Amino acid sequence: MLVLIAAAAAAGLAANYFASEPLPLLRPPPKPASSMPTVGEVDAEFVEQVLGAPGTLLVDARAAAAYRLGHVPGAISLPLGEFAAAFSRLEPELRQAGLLILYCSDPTCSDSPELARRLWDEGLRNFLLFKGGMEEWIGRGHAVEK
Amino acid sequence: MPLRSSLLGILSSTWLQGLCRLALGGIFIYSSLDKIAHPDEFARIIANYAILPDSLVTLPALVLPWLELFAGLLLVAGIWTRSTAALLSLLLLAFILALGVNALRGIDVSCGCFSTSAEIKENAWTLILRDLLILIPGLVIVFFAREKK
Repeated sequence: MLVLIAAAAAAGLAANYFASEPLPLLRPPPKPASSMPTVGEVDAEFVEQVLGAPGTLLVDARAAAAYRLGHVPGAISLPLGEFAAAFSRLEPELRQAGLLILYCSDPTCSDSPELARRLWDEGLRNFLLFKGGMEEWIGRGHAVEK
Repeated sequence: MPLRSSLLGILSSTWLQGLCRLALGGIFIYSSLDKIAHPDEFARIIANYAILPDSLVTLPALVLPWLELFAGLLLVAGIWTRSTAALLSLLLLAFILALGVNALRGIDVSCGCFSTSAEIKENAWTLILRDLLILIPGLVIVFFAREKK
């Protein structure tokens, strides 16, 4: 049995070594190329105007702990690091919403653009990015919900 | 007890053991091919199970399909039959466990059983039932194969 496992390990690693695009062994698998077009962006003023509007859902892409410390009022938490479980739980709500606004911590964070790509791959199309995220929201003096 | 001995006779018969070897080995050979061809997509499917940390999914994605292929080939060829069947049965139990965890979480994942397409999402309980059925020939071999003398 051990011989078999060793042979399989050798074959798998060798096949990867000689592959045209080897997979990095101790890093997450590379993301597939997505056909998602550029996502529209909105600012804190827009978010404030649509806050609470029927069919509009704010989605916080940060880690659950960051969400608990404070988030845009009414936003739901869909942490990128727990995408599969969180998406499965929230899928009906996300599909039912007319507009999703995704945000993370600040204009440089990558969680909300990455979340947009994951949602796109799940077939959702009705989302915009609040690029400034929590930094812009707090910077403009808006209320934070905990 | 004639019933017990005739049942044992059937379970250990050459034709049933051969059928089980071909079925289990063939299933694993077939299931390995797409995964060997697309290890990146298989790694993403393992990551979607959300059981291993993302940084640890590549190694099993590279090794498991080859293990399935080699074990399947050995089983079909009748080499190291019992230990190979035991290995594949353990693999199936691990798959059932992983599917069970996600079934309890209420997540339907892409199985990655026969295809690396992430589009195909199936109900976890259905997949568990299917794996349990596939486990049957493995157990028949493990417990009833006659030792060669």
